[in-house]
Order: sequence, then C-alpha cells, then structure tokens
Amino acid sequence: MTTSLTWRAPATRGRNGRVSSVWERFTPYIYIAPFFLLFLAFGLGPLLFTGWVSLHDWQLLGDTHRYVGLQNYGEMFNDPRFWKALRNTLAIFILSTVPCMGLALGLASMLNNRTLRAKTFWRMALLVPNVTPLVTVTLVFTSIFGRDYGPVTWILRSLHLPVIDWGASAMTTQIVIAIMVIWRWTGYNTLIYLAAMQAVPSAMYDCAEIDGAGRWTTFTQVTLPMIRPTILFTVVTSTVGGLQIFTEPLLFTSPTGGNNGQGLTVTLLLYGQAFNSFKFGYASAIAIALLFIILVLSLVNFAVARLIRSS
Amino acid sequence: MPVTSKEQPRTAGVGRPVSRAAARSRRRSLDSSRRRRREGTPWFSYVVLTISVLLALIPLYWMFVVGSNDTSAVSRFPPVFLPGGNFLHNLGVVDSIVPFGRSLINSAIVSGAVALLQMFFCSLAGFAFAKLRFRGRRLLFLLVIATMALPSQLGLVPMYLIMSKLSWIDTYWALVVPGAVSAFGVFWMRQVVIGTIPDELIDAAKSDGCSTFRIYRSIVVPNIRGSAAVFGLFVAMTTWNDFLWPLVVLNTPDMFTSQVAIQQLRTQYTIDYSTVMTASVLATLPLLLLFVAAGKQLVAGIMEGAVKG
Amino acid sequence: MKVPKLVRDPGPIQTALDLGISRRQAMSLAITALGGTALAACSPGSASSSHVTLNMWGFADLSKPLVRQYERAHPGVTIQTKISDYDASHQTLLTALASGNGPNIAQIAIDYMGEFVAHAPAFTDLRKFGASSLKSKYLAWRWNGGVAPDGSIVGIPTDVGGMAIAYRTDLFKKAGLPTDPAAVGALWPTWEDYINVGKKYVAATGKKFIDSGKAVFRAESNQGDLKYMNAGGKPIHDTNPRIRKSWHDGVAAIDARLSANVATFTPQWDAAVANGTVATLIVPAWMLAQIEQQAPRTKGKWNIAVLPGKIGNDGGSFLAIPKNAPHAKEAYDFIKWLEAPTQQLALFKENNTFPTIPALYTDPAVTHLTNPFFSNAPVGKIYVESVQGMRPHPIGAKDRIIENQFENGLGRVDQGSQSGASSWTQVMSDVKRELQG
Repeated sequence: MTTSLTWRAPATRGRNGRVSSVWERFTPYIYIAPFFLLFLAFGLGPLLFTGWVSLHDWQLLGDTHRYVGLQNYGEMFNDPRFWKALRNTLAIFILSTVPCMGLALGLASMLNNRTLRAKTFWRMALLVPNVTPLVTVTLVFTSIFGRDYGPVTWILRSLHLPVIDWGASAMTTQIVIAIMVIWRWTGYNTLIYLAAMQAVPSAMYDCAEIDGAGRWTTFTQVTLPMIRPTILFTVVTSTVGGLQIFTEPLLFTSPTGGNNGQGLTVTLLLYGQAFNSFKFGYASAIAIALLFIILVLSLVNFAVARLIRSS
Repeated sequence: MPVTSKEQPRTAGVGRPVSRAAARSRRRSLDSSRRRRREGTPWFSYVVLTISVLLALIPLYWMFVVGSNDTSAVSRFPPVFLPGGNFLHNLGVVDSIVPFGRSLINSAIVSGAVALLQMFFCSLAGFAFAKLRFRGRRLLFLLVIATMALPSQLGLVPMYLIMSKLSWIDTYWALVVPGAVSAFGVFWMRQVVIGTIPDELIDAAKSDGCSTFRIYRSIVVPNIRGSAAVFGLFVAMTTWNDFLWPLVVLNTPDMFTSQVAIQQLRTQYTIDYSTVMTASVLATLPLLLLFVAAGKQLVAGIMEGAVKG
Repeated sequence: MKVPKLVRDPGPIQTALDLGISRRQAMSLAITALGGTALAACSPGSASSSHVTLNMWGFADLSKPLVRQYERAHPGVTIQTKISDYDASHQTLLTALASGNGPNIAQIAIDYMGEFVAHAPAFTDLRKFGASSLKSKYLAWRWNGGVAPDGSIVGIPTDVGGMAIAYRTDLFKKAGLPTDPAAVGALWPTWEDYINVGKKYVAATGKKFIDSGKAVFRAESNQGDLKYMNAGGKPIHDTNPRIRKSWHDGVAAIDARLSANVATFTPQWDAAVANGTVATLIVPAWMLAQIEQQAPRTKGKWNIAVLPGKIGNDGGSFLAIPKNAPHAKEAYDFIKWLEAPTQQLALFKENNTFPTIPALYTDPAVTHLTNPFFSNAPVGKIYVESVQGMRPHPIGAKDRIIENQFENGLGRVDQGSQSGASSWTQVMSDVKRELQG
C-alpha cells in the first residue's frame, strides 16, 4: 500500500520545517474546529441546558424555575413508569436490533456479489422504507395490524386461528413496534455494510480462495473481521438510536404509549412529561439518565470490540 | 464493470500512485478472478432480495393507491388494491391549498445544502479523530457520542431560543446551520477512515512532507468516497423527511418544506388521506429520482473504494 | 387610550396612539417616519413599514377563505397560517412560548386551555384592547374558559362542540328499532336507557353499538356543573359522584359488549365508521365533518338524535396572542373580526364548527340548518339545544392530564386487560402521581 505514495512532495515542503511541528500540532484542532463550533452551539448547548434544567422544578411556561438539586432524579427512581419504560425500551431494542443487524448483514453479503444483476435497483429499493413518509408508515402499519379489518387478522381468521388484538398486550405491541423498526432500518444498515464490504481489498478474497475457504468461512474469516469498524459503528449507533426509540411507538400506540403504557419507551415518557405534563425539569432528568445509560452501553460496545480485536 | 467508466476530475493533476492503465488492468484481473470464484448468483439470493424489496415497496405502492382514489379507500374492506383515477384531481386540491411546488424546491435547497456541508465537515472531523494525534482526542470524541445520546425532543426549546436570538426564525439558516454537522456523521466517517486507510499510508505521506489538508484531499477523500456518498444520500433523505424542527421554526408558507406543506392539508380535526397521500407521493418522487440518479454514481463510488482498498 | 378610528389609513400618530404610545413619543415617531419617507424614496420596499404580517398557528383548518377576505379588506395586513396536527401544534407553541417567542396568533384547544390559562402571563391580556366588552356576546361558560383567575383574558372562543347522537337508520331498522329522530331520542332520556337500547341492538344483530366505552364517559362527565376540580381548585376526581357514575356507565357499556373498542382519530375508527361496525356515535358538531370525509359511502344512512341527558359539549378552541408578539393590536382586530357573528356563521355552514355566540342560536340561518349527509337532520336546532342548557364546570390546569388517565383506564377495560374495578384503582394512583409536583 505504501508503495503507492510515489508522488512528488508538495511545494510547501521544508519551507517552514521548524514551524511545521508546532503548526502540525494545532492543525488537528483546525480540522475539527468547524465541526466543534457548530457542535458547541447546537449539540453541546442543548445538552448542558438539559442538564441545568434537570436540577430545577421547571414548568415549561412559567417564569420561575426553582432549584431543587437532585430531586427530579429521586422522583425518577421512584416512578414505576420510568422502570416500565426502560424495560419496554430494552425489550424493543433487543427484539428489533438483533434481527435488523442479522438481516442487514445477510442482505449486504448477497448484494456484495459481482455477478448479481440489477445491483442499483436492489440497493435503492431496499432503501425505500427510509424515504417513505411517516404518515404512510403509520397508516400502513396500523392497518396491517388492525384488529378488525387488517390483513393479518384476515389471514388468522381464514386459518381459523384466534384473532390477535395487537395493540392490547405489551408483548404484541412491542413485537409490532420491533417489526416497524426492522422494516424501516434494515435497508439502511444493509447499505452501510455493503459500502464497507466493498472496501475490503479483493486480494483478501483471493487469498481466502487460494486457501480453499468456502463461502461461509470467507464471510466469517474475511468479511466480518474486515468490516469490524463498521459493525462497531452500527452497533453503537443502533444502541444510541434504539434506546431513544420514539417515532414508532408514538405512531403505533399513543403519546402515553397506549392505555397501559405497553408501548411506553423512555423517550416517549420524557416527551410526554415535557410537552403533555409541562414538567420540563423532570423530563430533563429522565433525558440525562437515558444519556448515561446509552453512554455506558456504548462504552461496553467499544470495550467488547477491543477485546475481540486483541484476542 | 461501471468502475472504469469515469475518472473523477477532482484528482486530476495529482500524480496517481499507479498509472491508470495499470490500475485498470489490475482491476480487471481481480474482477475476473472473483468471477471465477463465484460462478453465478445462487437463486435464493434473488428470492430473498425479491421478497425484501416487495416488503419495502408495498407501503409506497399503497400510498399511490390511496392518493389516486378518494379518502374512503383507506377504510374500505376488502381493501382497494388498484390505483384509481383521482390522482390529478387530488393534485389540484393539494395545489389549491398550499404552494407545493415551491415547498419541493425549499426541501431540495435545504437537504442539498445540509448533505454537502455534512459530507465535508464530518469527513474532515472524522479524519482528524481517526488519524491525527492530538491532546483531548478521546475526551472530545466521547463528547460527540454523548450528544448523540441526548434525546433530541428536549433540544427543541434551547434550539428555538438560539434561533430567535440569531433572528434566524423563518429562514433557511435555521434549517441548514444546525444540520451542518452531526455526531452520527463524524462517528461514521471516523470508522470509515479507520477501516479503509492504513496508518502507514498516512505516515508515509507525512514523511513525504504532505500537509495534513493535502492528505485529507488526496488520500482520504478518494478512499472514502463511496461511504461518503452513501452518507450524503442518507443525510439528504433524513433532512428531506424531517418535519418537527421545520414545523417549529418556519412561518411563511413560501418557506415551508414539503413535509410542513403536507401538514397544511389537514382539514378540521381530520386527515383527508387521499390529498395527504397525493402530496406524499409528490414529496417522495424527488427522492426516488435522486436514487436513480445517485444510484449509478453510488455504485461507482463504492466500487472505487473497493478496488483501492 | 382608545381613539376611534375615523380614517381608513391612520397616520403615524394615530397608529402610535392605537399602539399605546404617548403623544410625545408619537410626535417623535412621526418625525422619524417623515424622515423615513424621504429616505424611502431612494430604497424601494421600505415603504411597507406600515405593512403588518401576522403569523397564525393552529391545529385545525384555519378558515383560509375568511383570512383572504380579511386581507382584501385590510391591504396593510398579511396573515400567514401554519397548521400542524393536534399534538404537534401545541408542542410547537409551547416550544416557542418557553423561549419567550411565539406566533402573533395561536389557536389553543379547550383541552389545553386550562394549562395555558394557568400561565396567563405568557399571553397578552386582551382586556387592554377592550375585549371585556365582547364578553356579553359569547356563551358565558365558554368565554370564562379563556379567562385567568386574575381576570385577564387569554383567549377568544372560536367554537364549541355541542353534542348529539348520530345513528345508522338502516341498522336500526334491521334491529327493529325506530328510525325517526324524535322517536329515537325518546328511547334514551338517560344514559342507562341508551345502554339498554344498545343491549337490545346487540342482542338483535350481534354487532356493536358504540365506538368505545370512553366516549360514554367523556360525554356524560361533561354534563355536570363539576368535573375534576371544585370551585376552589381542589381535585375532586375521586369523590365527584358524576365522575363515578360516568365511569360506571362507560364500564357498563363495555361489559354489555356494546363497544367496538376503536379510538377516535385512528384508521381503525375510520374503518369502523365506514363499514357500519357501529350503529351509533356520540358526536360533537365538528365530528360530523369527519364522518362525511372518512365514510362518504354512508351518505343518507345516518340521522341525528338528541343526546342522553340532552346537554353536552366536547372540543372547541380559543385564539390567543402570546405575550411578546408584535402587532398585538392588529392581531386582536383580526381575532375580533374572525369570531364575530357573520364569520362564525360562515364557518358553521362550511365546517360544522358550532358558533359560540348565543345571538346566532335564534338566527334562522342556524336553527333551520339541515345536513343532507345525515338525512337532512336539523343539526342547527339539535346542537343549539345541547349547548344552551350547558352548565359550566370549573376547569383546572391539570384537567387534561386527569382526563387522559381516565380515558386510558376505560381503554384498558375496553381491551379486556383489566376489570372496571382494578382499572379504577390504577386510574386513581395514576392521577395522584400526575398531580404531584
């Protein structure tokens, strides 16, 4: 790979040999500066604001914001809704992420086949769920799983099976939500994996072939290790996104997560506390707690990735 | 192979590692060796892909069915399966309520700007986090991940405050500038750079006296082009379909993005599904066209990355 | 400070006076304005300094034709409307208000009004534009919904629900029930009677009678002079006999298998209505439009009868002006015009939104109004009667949140996941938690 660097050194070379080391020490900051400037204002700003609000009795419309210390966090630990929401979130996360990742890996490796015809079509068609407007997604999924008139009901009836009221129990609600997630995000992850797989040097496959490796061995011994940074990326972003799941439960149930909170997720709870109950301070405390949960799980992901790499 | 069809003009002028002809022949030999290895696509690949694509497309198809019927098509049982003849009529209704063509232009401006800015800023910062050594790197990266972990729903309030202080309410700035960077993008680009560009390559370039920006431009950009293109497409898609933030900050109908415009089709307390679906079809078409247009480029871009490794 | 407007286009001094600026300030403003006019000769566009753009946010169709009409009559005013769905609309408004901003005019649903009124300082007190003089024109109990405890006027009412029962004449006929509205209304003077008719219907047809148990609860609990709060602002959701009775009737309807268990504003509800799954619906005036839209094929199969207990209300909204919004006077003028009798009547005819002005309740244009979709039912007369007898109940800041808990509770019973009794216990503890802090 290094042999490829045969081009002439740029004109600036040597002109400021002494300064350059100082300069080089600061350039990294310049590269991340535009990002961080915007990031400070629109990423970190809201984060610090939320942290600040979480220490207050902060009514969304009132002018007075009473400092209450950690009281909101105390309330959260004693709030059965928080624990229920956390349980639901984790359940939906596992029900959706594992199949989604597996399917995406499988589809990506099918697409990563040079003899496949109409590549562009398959790739783009798999991405369609991501551009389908939410209003359509809601309508379609609530209709499909509708208790009285949905096609699923129709199939169950014609098979003389009992009709399921999908929205009634926690388990079925979470299954439907997980299906919505899988539907919307599998194509997306497939394309991410595919892009990474395509970047695997062909030489690696050639070596594997010379060694007489079969399709499965090649996949597990060459493809997976080579796209590990990307897998780590999708695992972390799925953890981050999955634990913040909001749209799907809102669409399939209600802003309160259904009559019995069967679809209540942590983000749905904090959203409701902020904009329905106007308890902005309490909602912020839940948001910060969720942030820490996500961070811990993400760090676990990184640690596991490091373990795998070193072993 | 589509790879050989186009050379990117951007890299012209910089001496390429290997001559183009040599690279091409190398590619060809690799391709043929790969072809030899897999003597064809197993039929079950086609079956699985077909089923997946059908599942992916059904809601979109149904959107068109409802959009071309009247609203009651939504609740008819047994359901309506075929498009009706009402599409143009519904189109007229949409157009009479809201300047929809204009909203599509707004969406295009905003998503295009956001996608380009993110591709640039995020790949630059991702490269810095991946390959440059600097103090506080880990901590700053952790901060990036942390902001990703904050639910965006509560961020609306401080964001709106900032926008009003900047007098950016009801402007493109309010949509483009906060969207110009994303933790997600930096993370992704970092991982891509780690995965595709070996450290030795960077070190060699450095010892050759390359400035860091030159390394970014001549080594990083060409190598991550495929993933960056996919990323740009994703960003454009999400920005296009984003609706809560534009709904909060926009006031003037001529500034509305298409998702905000669709909201204007609500009638007293209810949704007229047929007009909403007609508008949704219109709002989705540009993205599908983008797919078709970007599709070939994407395939090419992804392949580029593949060959260079 | 009230200076009558004599001329169409008031000069700068007049405008300044209208805006509540002192005379001396007005003079200096006038001088500046004159200088400005001289400068404006050089720069096109700045002549529009007297032009006012009002942003109006809402969740329902904000009567575009009337807006255009107003703009034609007032060339200096442009009104930009922005519609979002019900939840998003209140959320965007809250977001803007929480950062001290907002539109010039905000539509707020009655359900949210309790909370907004409790935070009256976030809004312009409309008394300063003389809104107190409008009070006598509006339904007293509805007007009071927009008044804060300190007497400041937060919002002007747009419409009220009014309540009635829409029923399917064809299905009633099959079940051997009368189909004439008067005879049907006579079947159910009370909610027990209504449920008993439902039992007969279900026994005769095996089909469902109502959409959900909570519809009964919602309608019945609004009929009293107390709901969740007493006059002193103390919560009485657990002791108010009317709440207990409404809950009991809701559960009874579910237990007698009358309910199809479909919630309003869902595709399931639309499908149930369109496919004749339910024989009756408890309908506020504005819901008629929803039925017409979602179930066009049922035209002529409906009729409308009086509600058990006759009186009722559900829904409706207010128009308010956020505290820091500029051009508050112009915004107020528009609101005043939009909610005047002529405009309210026009909206009723077009959108079925029922007026809040009692003077219209004797207007033949209202009393003689019939609706062809519902077999020419005299909707004007029916809704007038349901609204006129309404007894106001005090509305607290947390009423909407409490209502949510009750509705979720009946939803659980409807789904069969809880009995009426255990659901009631959970509602009580849920409400208690929501009332804390």
